[in-house]
Amino acid sequence: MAPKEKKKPKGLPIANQMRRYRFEHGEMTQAELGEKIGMTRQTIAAIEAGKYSPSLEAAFRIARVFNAKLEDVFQWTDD
Amino acid sequence: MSFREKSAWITLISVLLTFGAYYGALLLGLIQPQSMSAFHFGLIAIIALIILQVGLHIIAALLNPTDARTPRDEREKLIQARSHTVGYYVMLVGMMVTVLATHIPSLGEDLGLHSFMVTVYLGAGVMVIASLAVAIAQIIMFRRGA
Repeated sequence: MAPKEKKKPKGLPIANQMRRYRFEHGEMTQAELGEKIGMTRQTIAAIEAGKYSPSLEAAFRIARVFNAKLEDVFQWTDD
Repeated sequence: MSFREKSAWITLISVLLTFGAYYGALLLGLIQPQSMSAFHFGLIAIIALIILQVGLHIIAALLNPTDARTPRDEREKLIQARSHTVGYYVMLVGMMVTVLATHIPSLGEDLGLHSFMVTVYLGAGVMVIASLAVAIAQIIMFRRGA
């Protein structure tokens, strides 16, 4: 069963689909993703939870791991 | 909890233990502020702080060596930079208070201290408070996400 889509957290205007993409990529763990892009598991968890907005470079790295477009993984939400 | 967050906790606890005990003893009158023993206890506090910091960091690194070896990522660098900004402002205000306090002649007399000693104790205290502010700011930011 696919994990539920995360709601956009208060404060930050960027939503992400990282959890879904991790699930679709062999249930990749946060630690594994972090290792691939040189980040700690805690930072991946903070990005996923919408508590931290990654830099553009980090966002591209994450999208590349999932072979996805940046805008498929991260979305700007005005409202 | 990441190694960097553990490191912030280690700093907070070790500074509170060592300099809390030192300034506590001074305020309670267990050490005479004007005496050489105050200087010696100050040195002991600094040495104890170094031993505690090194020892606890080694233990934290041994518990999770991979995490300890991993270089800081962008979020950890951001938290470090922001926390040091907090520490800078605390230090700035503290140093202004120290300079002003040094120019209040009655303060030293009330405490039975030479004005130079007032400056030394307040100056050192400000550095301790600034390092506590950095550690607390880091812990809060690690808990919040960034």
